[in-house]
Amino acid sequence: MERRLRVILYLTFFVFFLFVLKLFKIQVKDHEKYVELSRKNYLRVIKIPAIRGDIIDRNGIKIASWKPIFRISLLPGVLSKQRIRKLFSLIGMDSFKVDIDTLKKSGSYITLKKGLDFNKVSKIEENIDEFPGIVIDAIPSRRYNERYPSVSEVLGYVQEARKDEIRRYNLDMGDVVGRSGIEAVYDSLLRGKNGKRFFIVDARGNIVKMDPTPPLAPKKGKTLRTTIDAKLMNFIDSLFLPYKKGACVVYKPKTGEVLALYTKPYYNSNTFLIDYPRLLKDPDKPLLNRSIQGTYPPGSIFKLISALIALKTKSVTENTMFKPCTGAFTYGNRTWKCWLKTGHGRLNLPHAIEQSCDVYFYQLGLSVGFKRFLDELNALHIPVLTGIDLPHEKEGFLPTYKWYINKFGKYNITEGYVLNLSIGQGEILFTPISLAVLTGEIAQKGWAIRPYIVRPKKLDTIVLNAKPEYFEPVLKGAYLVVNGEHGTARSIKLDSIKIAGKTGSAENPHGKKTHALFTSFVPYEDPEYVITVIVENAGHGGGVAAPIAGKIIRRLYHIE
Amino acid sequence: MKQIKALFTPLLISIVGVIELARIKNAYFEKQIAFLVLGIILFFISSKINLKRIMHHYLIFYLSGLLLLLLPLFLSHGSVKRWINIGGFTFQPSEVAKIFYLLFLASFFSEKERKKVGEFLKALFMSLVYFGLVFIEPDFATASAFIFIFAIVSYVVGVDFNVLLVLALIPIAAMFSFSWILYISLIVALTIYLFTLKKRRFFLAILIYTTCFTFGLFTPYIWNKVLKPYQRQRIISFLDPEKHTKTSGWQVYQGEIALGAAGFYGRFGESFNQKNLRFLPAPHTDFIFSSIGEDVGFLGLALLFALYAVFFSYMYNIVKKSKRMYIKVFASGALSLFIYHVVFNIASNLGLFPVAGIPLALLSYGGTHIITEYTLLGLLEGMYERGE
Repeated sequence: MERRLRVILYLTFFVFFLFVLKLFKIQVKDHEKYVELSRKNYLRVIKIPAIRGDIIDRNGIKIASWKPIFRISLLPGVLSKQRIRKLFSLIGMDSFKVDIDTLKKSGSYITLKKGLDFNKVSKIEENIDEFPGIVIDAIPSRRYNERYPSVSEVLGYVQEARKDEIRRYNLDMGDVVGRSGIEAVYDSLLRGKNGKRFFIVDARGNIVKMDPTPPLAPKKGKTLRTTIDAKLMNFIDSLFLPYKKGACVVYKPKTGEVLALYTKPYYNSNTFLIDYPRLLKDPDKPLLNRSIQGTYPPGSIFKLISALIALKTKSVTENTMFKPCTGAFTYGNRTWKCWLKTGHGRLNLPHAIEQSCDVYFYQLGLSVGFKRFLDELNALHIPVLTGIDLPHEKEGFLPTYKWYINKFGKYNITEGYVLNLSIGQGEILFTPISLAVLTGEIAQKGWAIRPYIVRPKKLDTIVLNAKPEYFEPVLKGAYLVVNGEHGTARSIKLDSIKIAGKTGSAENPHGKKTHALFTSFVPYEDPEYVITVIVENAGHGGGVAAPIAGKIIRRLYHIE
Repeated sequence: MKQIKALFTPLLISIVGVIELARIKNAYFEKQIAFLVLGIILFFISSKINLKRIMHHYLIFYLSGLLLLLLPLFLSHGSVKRWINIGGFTFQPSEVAKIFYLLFLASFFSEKERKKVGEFLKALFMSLVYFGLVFIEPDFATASAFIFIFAIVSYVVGVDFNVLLVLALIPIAAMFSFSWILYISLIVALTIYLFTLKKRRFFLAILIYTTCFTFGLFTPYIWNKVLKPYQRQRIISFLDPEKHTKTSGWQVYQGEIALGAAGFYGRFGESFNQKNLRFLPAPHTDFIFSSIGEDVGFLGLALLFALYAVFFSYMYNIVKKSKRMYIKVFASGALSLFIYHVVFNIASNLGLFPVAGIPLALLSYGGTHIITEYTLLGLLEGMYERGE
C-alpha cells in the first residue's frame, strides 16, 4: 500500500518539478519580456501634439499661429460599448470611424474629438467617474489671424492627415498636415515633433499616477517668415472692394520677394473645411487662387512682347514708323480696327506703346511675319510657369506655329493671323504672377529673380532671351504709358517717382465687360517693385486696373 | 506537542496566505484570520473525536455526505447552487462533504475484500452519485475532486491497476480524441504498456482498445455532428463557468505577467505591480499563487513548493506508520485531496489547466475550504495518535 502511495507522492513531486521548470522559464529566463509586458499594461502614452510653427509676414506680423482647444482622449478597451455610446452622445459624436477595440494593443490614448466647447467639457467633467480611461486636456490648434483674411489663399489650410500620409510622413493619428498654400509646401518645416506624456493606469483605466517619467516635450515647428506684407494685402483688399473678382501681385524682380499675392474672392482658412461644400458650389470660384491659377489673355500688355520680338528680329527700330493710324487697318480683304476710332496718326514704337495703337502693331506683326513671330515668341523663354513656391500653379499658354497648323489646318493659315496675335488677342494666356515676373524681366532688361513667398537658400535668376538693347524702346514706351501726354495710364502719373507700365483690356469668351489689366514697375530708372493688377469684367485697364496699381505704389512709397 | 508538530507546516503555508491577503485587501486578511483561528480550533476539536466505533458503518458517512450535497440543491436559489446561507455566512456543503467522503472511503476500503472488482464498482457507483450531485450544481472542479480522490485511493488500496486503467480510459479517450496527435500517442502508449506486461492478457487488450475506439470515435462525432453550436457552447460554459464570465485567456495572461515580471526575487516593494493596479484577476482566490509569486519571485515560490512537499511527505508518513487500514486509507484520501487542490490550482495559474475555481489548499481566501482542511487534518491527527 505504501509502495503505491509512494508512486503517487513521487508523481506529485515530479509535477512540482515541472512547475518549477515552467516558473524558471517565466520568472528567470523570460523575466525581461514580462517586465516589459507589465510596463505596457500600466504605462499608457498620450500624445502631446506639437505646436505648428507660426507663419509671419515680412514685418513680423503673425498671420498663422495657434490657440488652445479642448481634446478628449480615450484609453481603448476600458469602457463598455454602452458607456462609449453615452459618451458619444454627450460630446455630440455619432460614431467613431475606427473600431476602438482594434486600437487596444497600441497602449496609447486615442483622440476622440478635438475642439469641444466648454459646455460639453464641463458636462463630461461632472460625470468623469462614469468614464474611467478618459482624459480631457488642451492642445494647440492652428489659428489664422482674423485681421488679415486676404492672406488665406497664400497660407492654405490644414486638415487631419489621411492614413497614407500618416504612414508616409511617420505621423500620429489625428496629426494635421498642410493642404494648400504655404502650409502644404512647407509642411515638414511647420509640423514640429509631437511629444508624449505617460500615465500609470490600473486595469480599469483609472489614472494612478501622472507623469511617472518626465514627459517628452513636443517640439514646436519652425517659424516661417514670408515675404508677404499682410497690411499691404489688406490695403489691396480694400481697393478691390468695388469689384467682385480679380487678382493682384506685388513683386520685387530684383530679389524675387512677393509682397502681395492677392486673389478675390478668397476663402477663410479657419473655417475652410466647414465652408468647403459651399465654396465648391460658388460660381465665383473662391477655391481658385487667381493670382497663380487664373489664366487671362494679356490683351494689350502683350504689345510689349510684340515690340520686343520685332526689335529682336530687327524688323523695326525705335523710330520705325508705319503707315499712319486712321482708326482701322486693311489687310487682304479684311479690315481690322484700332481701339481709337479717330486714329492715332503717325507714331514711332515708344509712342505706339504709349497709346497702345493697334494699327501700329498690326503692321509691326506683319513686318515680322506670322511663323517667325511665333518662333521668336517661343524662343524668348517667357515665364508662363514661374515656379513660385506654392502648389498647383497653373501654366499660361503660348501658341506655337505647329499648334496653329494643328488647330486650323496648314492651308487655312494666312499671314493675317499675326495681326490679332501682335495685339495680344490670340490664344495666349498668362497668370497674374507670370505677367508680374515678365514685367520684372522687361523692367530689368531681361532678367528677374524667381518669385517666392519663403526665401530659398539659393536665389534663382530667370532670363528673357533678348539682348538688353532691345528693351530700351520697349521701356521708353512703358514709361510713356504713365508719363506720356497720351499715355493710357497717365492718370496715375506721380511727380516724385516715375512709374512705367502697360494697360490691357482683355476680351473674354464670357462676353461681359473686358478684364481690366495693368502691369507696372516702379521706379522707372531702377525698378524695385512690379505691380500687376487684373480685375475681371470691370472694363479697361487704364480706367480700372491702373488706378489700383497707382494707389498701391503711393502706399509703397508713402505718397499722400 | 505532537499536534503542534502536525500543525506546523500547514499553518506555515496558511500564514504565507494570510500575509499575502493582507497585501491585497485588509478585509480579506481579517476574515481569513478568523477562518484560520476557527480552523485551528476545529483541528483540536476534531482530533479528539474518536470514530473508531462507527468506522465499519460506511453508510453513515456516505449518507451524511449525501445529505450535505443535497442541501444546496434545495436551499440555494439562482442558477448556480453551490452555496447555502447559514446565519449570514455562505458556506459550500460540497467542501465539507469531502470529509464525509474520505471517511466513507476509509471505512469502505478498510475491509480486505473490498478490493475486489465487484465491491470496487459499487464504491465507484456511490462516488459517481457524489460527482453527479456536485456536477449539476454546477461545480465541475469540485465534482472532479471526488473522482480524483476515488481513483488515487482505489489505486493505493490495491484495486487492480488494469481495472482502473480501463475506467480511466473512458474520460481520457473522450478528451484526447479532439487532438489526433494525443489520441495516437494514447494508443501507442497503451500498446507499449500491454507489451510490458509479463503475461499476455488478451481480454484486457480487447477491453482497452474497445474503450479507446468507442469513446475516442464517438465523442468527436457527437460533439461535431449531433450537437448544435449553442449546445456545445452551453456545455463548455457549464463545465467551466468562470471562464466565460471574463475571458480566461486574459486572466491567465495577466497571471503570467505577474509571475514573470517578479523575476527571481520578486517585487515586494513595488507599488505599480499587477495586483495593485488590479490587472491580476482574483488575486485572493484563484490566482493567489501568482499573487504570491509576484511578491516573492522564483525563490519564494520554490520555497512554497518545498513547504507543500514537506506537508505531503508528513501525510505519507502517517500512511506508512499507521497500523490500521482505515487510517491509512483516510490519510491517502486526505493526501490526494490536498494534491488535487494544490496541483490543479497551480497548473491553472501557470496556464497549463483551465481556470476552474479550485482554491489553493491552505492558502486561498475562503472560509469553507480552510475550515474543511483543518478539520480534516485534525481528524487525521487524532486517528494517527490514537491508532498507533
